[in-house]
Amino acid sequence: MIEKLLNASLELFDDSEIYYKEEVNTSVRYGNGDLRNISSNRISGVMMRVKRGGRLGIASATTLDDPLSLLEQAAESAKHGDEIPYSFSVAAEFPEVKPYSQETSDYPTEKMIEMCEQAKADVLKELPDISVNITVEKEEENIQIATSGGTRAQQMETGLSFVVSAPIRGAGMSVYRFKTEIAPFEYPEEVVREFIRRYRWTENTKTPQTKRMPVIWTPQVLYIFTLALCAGISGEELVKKTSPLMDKHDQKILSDKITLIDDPHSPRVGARGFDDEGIPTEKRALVQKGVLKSFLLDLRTGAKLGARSSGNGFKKALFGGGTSSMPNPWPANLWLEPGESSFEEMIASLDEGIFLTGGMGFHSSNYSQGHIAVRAIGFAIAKGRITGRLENTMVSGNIYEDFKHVRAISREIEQGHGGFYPYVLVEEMQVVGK
Amino acid sequence: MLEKLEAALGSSKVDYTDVRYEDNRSVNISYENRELRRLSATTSRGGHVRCYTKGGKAIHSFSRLEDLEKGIKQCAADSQIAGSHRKRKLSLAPTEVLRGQFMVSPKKDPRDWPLEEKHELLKHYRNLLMDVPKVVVVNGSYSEWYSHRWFVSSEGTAIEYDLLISNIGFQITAKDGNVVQWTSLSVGGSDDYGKLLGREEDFLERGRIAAELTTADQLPAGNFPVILDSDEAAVFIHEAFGHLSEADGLQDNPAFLAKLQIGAKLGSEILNVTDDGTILTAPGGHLVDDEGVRTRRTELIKNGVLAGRMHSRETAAEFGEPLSGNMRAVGPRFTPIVRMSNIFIESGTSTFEEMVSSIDHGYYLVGAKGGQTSGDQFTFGAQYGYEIKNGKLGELVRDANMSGELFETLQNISIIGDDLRFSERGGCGKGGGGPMQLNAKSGKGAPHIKINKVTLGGAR
Repeated sequence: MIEKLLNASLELFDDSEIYYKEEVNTSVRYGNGDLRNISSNRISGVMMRVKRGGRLGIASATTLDDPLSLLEQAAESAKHGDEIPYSFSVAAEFPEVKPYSQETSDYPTEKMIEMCEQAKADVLKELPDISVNITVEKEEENIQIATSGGTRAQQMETGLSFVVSAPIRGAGMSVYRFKTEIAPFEYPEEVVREFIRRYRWTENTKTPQTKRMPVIWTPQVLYIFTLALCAGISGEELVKKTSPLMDKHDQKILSDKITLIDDPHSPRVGARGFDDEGIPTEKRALVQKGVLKSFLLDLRTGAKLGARSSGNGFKKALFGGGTSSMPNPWPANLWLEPGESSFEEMIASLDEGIFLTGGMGFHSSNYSQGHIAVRAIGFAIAKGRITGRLENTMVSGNIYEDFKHVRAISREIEQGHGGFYPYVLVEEMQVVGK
Repeated sequence: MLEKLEAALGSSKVDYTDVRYEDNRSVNISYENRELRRLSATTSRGGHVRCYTKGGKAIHSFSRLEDLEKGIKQCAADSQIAGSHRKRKLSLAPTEVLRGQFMVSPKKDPRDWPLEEKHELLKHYRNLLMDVPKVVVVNGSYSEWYSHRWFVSSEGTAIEYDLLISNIGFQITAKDGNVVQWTSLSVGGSDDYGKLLGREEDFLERGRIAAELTTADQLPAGNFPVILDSDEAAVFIHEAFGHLSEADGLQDNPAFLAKLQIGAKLGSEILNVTDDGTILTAPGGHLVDDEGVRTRRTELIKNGVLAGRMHSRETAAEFGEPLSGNMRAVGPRFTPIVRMSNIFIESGTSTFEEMVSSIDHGYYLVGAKGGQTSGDQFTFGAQYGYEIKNGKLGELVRDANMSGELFETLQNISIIGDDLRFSERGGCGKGGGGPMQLNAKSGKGAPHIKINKVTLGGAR
């Protein structure tokens, strides 16, 4: 089908790119300890980009069934489109990654229900009166990209994920823990145990004094730091000349304890051999020992900056994204290098501080400039112990000032949004409480 | 289409089945300064099935119409598995069987305007903004979304309906030295193209403020009294309270629901909050929802007391409360979830001047800049603000982000203005236990309000 569409488009356009994605998934969702629903999807999406007389044209639809309408859309769009300074990808060798497991694809719904039932029983044995939510989901994706320049890229991906959560009594906010793997896993007892341990910390509430104090960033919330940083190193901000890191290449911008790698090739969830423009992905340090080493570029921003794409053109966004959106510079799969410390040691070392498990309202901060002001979700620490969950607390600051002073990084690494991160203890940040 | 869907439905033997099919058309034009980033007129189609069997529920989305029968079959089978495991049986509140058409009737239909004119209009506003001193980046977009839908249920409902919305929005970035600031404004937010025309002054004002912000002081961190403009107050009521009035979010949270019983006193007597999808001129207006229930007006807070909430047929049955017609999906791949239509704080009796003169030291916050809520905790940004000192408006301030706890903050609303306005920008993200659904057709409104204390997370 894709070849047919591509062949037809060759007659109309100078250059063409077709992106096609199919998704099949099933999820079992438990709410308040009871099966809420079983959900399944069999969906697809296609997006075409073309060039005619140097001008960009765009078309999208949900299926490949109506190629004529796609070609008409693209032609109409190219009539109005601007000239673009780049061509679509050409044939290339892709690094071999295989984030796919047939067993996940075949994983039966009944086993997903069993996993939920087991988790529910284990949680309610320890915390009998909480309202526990559990979701087990299996996903399968097939991404294909073909261009008139000869790119033929295809990747199949699978994921099995398990999430356990529960609203904190009377507050509505939730404590959650999760696990996602490419291949099926046995019932994740360790995830459930850690969930129970953390839920117990929520019994008391604490509002710290308004002052600067140490903050432990957990892997679940470090995406706030990485998103702000990645906005700064994104070709988008460089083209606009609004990045605070414009002239900072090879300069120290963060603590030398911080090494952030974009690693699409290791066999983890999120691995990719090519980006959403069919460019081979690369493993590279973005920040090496606090020094800025690379920027994130797609075809468009690369061309505008006189560089090549770094293989970071993805159809991702803070909100939205997806097949019918335009690619933009985005990290493939982040990896923040672990350190020598541990989460427990960090807590024990603090006379007064907080640790964050979530931060609300990140997108309302001026984050592309490194500025962060979020409602702090997490826990207060006093004299080396967790004293209660944070209430009426905000954390604010600027990553390019506060993350210059990192006291410790943990050995343990956990999966977070957009990558894998250790725990990071920042020397001090502005905490607004009482 | 309705015949085709009804015929397929006949094959389902479970307790309840419904199918929604959509044929959607979007027009998007976006610019970054003089560079056209996107100009497209695209389609998306697909359907969604829901089945209930013995109190268990399953849902299924498909892209190809040929997969309709297969989808119904799989969904029915999954609902049987669900029914055999579900302990507290689910049911649906009874609703009127609807048949016929429920179509939009725009004053000036955006689909009647040629693409060229929309393109020119966007460039016209962009050119004006690019000429504002200190403005370095102007991101502008025209968006138009038309969704043609068909819904049939095994109870006999068979309806054809549609949704239409268009917007022009700009984000304006200004720079002075190392200080980068932005403001934004979106106009339209309904099926009336006329609202997009003649808006030069509105956009220019936001552009000038972006420029001024580059030399403004940063907001301090701490607790202060604030006045919110109607845009900010609307975001507050949407984020902090509105989401907790959506019954599906309370379904699995009995402890929290206990705090939100009908009759609970939430604010002072001057506070009245309503959700009204029948206001077709605001972004959330619609005639029927995505489970075939007619849209209506629902009083949420009456004289400070919780008076009602927004429901699906399932939550209405579970809570024993009236239907509200708030079950909506943003596209074919999504199941409907309970969404605000147009939520707003009703007008009070005070003037803006009365509010300002009541504050010794506080801030006036203007312009929505996104927000987020989790349970009773909320946070949202303001595009800019003004210091208030000794009852008088003072200097412009920047980087404003505020947060608070819902119940305390509702009690702290002490003055409500007489100047209710609806925001022309829809937009709300909610997962509701599934994938995130960004809904452009969710409206909000408010007059100016004064809150005695919120936490400002400023950078100073």
